[in-house]
Amino acid sequence: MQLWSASNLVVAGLLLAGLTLLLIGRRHRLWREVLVQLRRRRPLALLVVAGYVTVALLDSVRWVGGVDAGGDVVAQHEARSVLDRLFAGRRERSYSAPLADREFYGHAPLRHPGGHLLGTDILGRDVLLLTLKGARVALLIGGLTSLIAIPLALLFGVSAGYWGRRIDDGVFFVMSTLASMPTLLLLIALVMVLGRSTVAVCLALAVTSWVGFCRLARGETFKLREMDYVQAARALGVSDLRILLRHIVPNLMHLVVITFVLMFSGLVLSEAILSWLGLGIEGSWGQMIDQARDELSRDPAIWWNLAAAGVALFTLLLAVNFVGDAVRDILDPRTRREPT
Amino acid sequence: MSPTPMLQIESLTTTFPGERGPVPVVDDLSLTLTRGEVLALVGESGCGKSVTALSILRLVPRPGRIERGRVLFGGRDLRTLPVAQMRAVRGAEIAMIFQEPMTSLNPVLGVGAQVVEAIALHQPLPRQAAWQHAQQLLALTGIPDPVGRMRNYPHQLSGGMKQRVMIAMAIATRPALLIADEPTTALDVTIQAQILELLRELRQQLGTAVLLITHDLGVVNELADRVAVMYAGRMVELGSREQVLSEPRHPYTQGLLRAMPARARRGQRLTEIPGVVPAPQHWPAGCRFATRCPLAQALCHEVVPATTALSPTHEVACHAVARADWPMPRAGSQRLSLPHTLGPSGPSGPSGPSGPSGPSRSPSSVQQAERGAASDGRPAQAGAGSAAALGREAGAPLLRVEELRTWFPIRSGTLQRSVGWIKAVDGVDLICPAGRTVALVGESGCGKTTVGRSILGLERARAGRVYFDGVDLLALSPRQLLPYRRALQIVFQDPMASLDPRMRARDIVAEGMISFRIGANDRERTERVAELMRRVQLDPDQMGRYPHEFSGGQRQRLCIARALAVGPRLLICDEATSALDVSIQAQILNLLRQLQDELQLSFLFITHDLGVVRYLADRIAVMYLGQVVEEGSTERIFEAPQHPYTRALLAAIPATDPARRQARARVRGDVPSPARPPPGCRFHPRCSEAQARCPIEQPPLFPWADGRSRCFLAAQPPSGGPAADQQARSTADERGSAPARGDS
Repeated sequence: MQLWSASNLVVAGLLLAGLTLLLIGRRHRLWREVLVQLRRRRPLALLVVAGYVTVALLDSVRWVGGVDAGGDVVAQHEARSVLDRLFAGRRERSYSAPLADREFYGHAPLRHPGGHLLGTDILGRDVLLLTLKGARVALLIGGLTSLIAIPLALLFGVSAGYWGRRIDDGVFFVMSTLASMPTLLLLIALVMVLGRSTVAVCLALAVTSWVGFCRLARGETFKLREMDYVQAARALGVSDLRILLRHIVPNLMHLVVITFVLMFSGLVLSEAILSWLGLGIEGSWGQMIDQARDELSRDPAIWWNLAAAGVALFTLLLAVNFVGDAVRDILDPRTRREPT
Repeated sequence: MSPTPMLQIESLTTTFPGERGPVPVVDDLSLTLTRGEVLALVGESGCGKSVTALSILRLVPRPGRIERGRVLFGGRDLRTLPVAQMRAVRGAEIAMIFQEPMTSLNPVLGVGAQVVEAIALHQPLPRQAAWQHAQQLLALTGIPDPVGRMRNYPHQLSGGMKQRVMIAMAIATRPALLIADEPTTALDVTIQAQILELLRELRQQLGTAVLLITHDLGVVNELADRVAVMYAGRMVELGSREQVLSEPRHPYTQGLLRAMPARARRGQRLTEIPGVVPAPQHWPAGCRFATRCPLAQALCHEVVPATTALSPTHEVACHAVARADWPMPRAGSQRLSLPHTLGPSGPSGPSGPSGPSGPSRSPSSVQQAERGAASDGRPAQAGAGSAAALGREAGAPLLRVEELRTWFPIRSGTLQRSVGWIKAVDGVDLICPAGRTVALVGESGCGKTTVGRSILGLERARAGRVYFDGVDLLALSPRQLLPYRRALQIVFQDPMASLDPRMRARDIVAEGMISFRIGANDRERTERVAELMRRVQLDPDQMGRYPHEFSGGQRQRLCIARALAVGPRLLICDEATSALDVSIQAQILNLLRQLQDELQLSFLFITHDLGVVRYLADRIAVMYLGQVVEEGSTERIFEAPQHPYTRALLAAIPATDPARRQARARVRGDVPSPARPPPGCRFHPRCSEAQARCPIEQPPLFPWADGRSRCFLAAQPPSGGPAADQQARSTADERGSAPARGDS
């Protein structure tokens, strides 16, 4: 069982990172409070996001062998995930409408009549399966990209804000340059240079999206630097590095959380655009939507691919936006009701 | 004054939602106000006085709401008025001015436009007429050059002028009632004197009644006819100014007056009110002051006291006053807070063993060692003050500041060149002897905070020398400075902003220890943290808590503990008690004096509060626009100030003795900008005694009495001359007989 593929490692790494954050967060009253408030304000959205995460997890770990792929020789030797195995052996020959008995073109009887909730695509794969697998890609985009972009932005923003002067000028220059370039074109150029693997696309997305948060972190650091407790730490002889790590960065964490949640939807949508240009990640909803371009112009039109991918994308982003807004409201220092 | 009340509040109750149901932030309040009189509503933070004012105008912010009661104004119940009519009342018949002049004016509209808006809302006037009317209002409030000011924007005005604009807007329609919510708290003492004078004049000219909300009993004495004292949402005492300030009957009012440093004797402990104000969620049944009251009995904790009328004008809500046979406490004994009344956690918990008779703790071994190291034979506590004051050795100067200058560049243009300098500190000399307290006094913008920060290296001084133990700190590199940082520490003004909200108390106090490697391991450090917390009268079991779980006074104690953790010899207190309520301030001041005795600490007390200075400091240095203008011992400065600015400052302090109302605004105008200080003597444009050479030559610091003064008048033949004697006498007379001090 070949478990140690690169993509598995990436996924495992992300999961570990997520768990560590969760454990650290649980010890702090603030984050516990955030979770409690979220459950109270947006239970449905939270549930939806949790559902997507579960689905993505089911598709995350892949290995070869095991369950019989039902005559599909190629699939037998591929690394398949839990989700794949659930849908094993349900291949048709070509298009079929949702819950149909017959193929779309030619009306030959299906191998599994009525067994495809959302129909099948051009290769006969179950569209429901494809849609569910897209969740993993979407979460990967959001997660991995943020994991690159946010620490990068923090590093630059906090350095610029704390030390000011030359470092600030330098960072500001880089930021302004990047911000003045058309994002999409830059993205395309980077993908063409770095390649089309998942990591490459995420890297390209990270490069084009760290500027916004960097500006925010820089501004907030300016403010924090003047706070009395930072001055007191300086008077106590605490080194700059320790001040940054102990006082400045932890007080930026609420911004990090808000930025992460709100950046997420932008990233997924950016990847959809890349897919539309043919540069996206394999298996994403964006790609499904891109394929739908041809399919819609046929007569009769094939709409279920587009609908499935579109609805899935829309629902996830809607839920994430709701959660993001709620998190921002909860963490806003003005609305935070701390006892005085 | 017509005897029929103009405003009658009956059983007003305003609630805010709490965790366990609605909390009555204003509880069953009843007041009357007659035409043209000034009623002061006094209390500490959280007592509900601002909410009362907002309730009258029906401006209570959601989710609060007025639950019960009537607010009768001119016969009509304001609570039942339809919204449109209420809007007509607001601004036209009842006007309000707020505490923060900085944020009360719209920054994007001109001053004139805003005043005109206030007029036009209630009086339909043609534009030209409204503009004229606005100008007249500005002139009425004493703004110089009202015509020019009309076109200015708020940011071009100083705090005092902004407050005058607010007052102009408020009186635009000659309202019958003016509600002033802490109108002078954010202003300097000399500007405060001007505003108080203005309010007095306006009241005389226009016959406006004023509901004055404040925590400052000096302001109350200057302005009010009657006083109502509030505590935790309820009114506890109501009477005329003389009655409440000279013969207070409620234990809380008595405690408040006794806790004021301005009324205290030097060298003696301030009388504290033990404990803290309970948070609204934890208000006890019965009398809410019972947990802190020296006269409390079982009845007080169960039954809410009814109002007893001591005279037609004086009423008190207290069981002890109502009953003639109330057991009096034995002299010297004080009650500590009962454990059952307050919540399991949070700021209302008993703040450790903080009784006014001092914490009952067994001295730890470290304490013994420290006491042994200090000069022996001295009592650990300052009992009869004079003994301790004399016992403190006049140490060699621990800190000597010479010619300190800190300038901030004003940058402008694309290349950010410095086009000018803000000369925040421009030639300051100071001496801090060991074991003594030196106060650095001045109004906002004079540079005193910058002096403190420059000494510590938190701001880069441009020139000057700071000698500590003979070493010039400013000449050292940051690395070389590091070991000296242990000896100089600072306590800031805002206890909220001084503590990292994400760190626990234990980590906060241990921070300095870690950077100076005090304590070999975690356990030792934790032990020392516990000891420090005990020393500042905090409960060491609370060291795992976060700052927001402590009250303001407790947070300030944490800041002090943090500063003490590294063993300093000089503590700079930058307005350390200015943000605290009077009763909490008394606790902190007592603590500071105790620490000074126990640890031989020196203090550099930076403040604008002259009452605290008089109580605490041995020597005073007065600053104006970046320079020291006068320096001397506390007694001499208060008795015979030489510099005109010092005299004006002292004359402007409101007294709390109702027999004397004397805050006089002896200085006109506002402080000039430190970027463009006046030529010659910096005070000359505002000085009533300026001579011909004052605008030309800057006076140096002349020796005067037991200190120095930066005034040409000081260079003239000293106090032997009849004119100078006359000056000194008249100043002393104006302040009345100075309260008896410990004989030092």
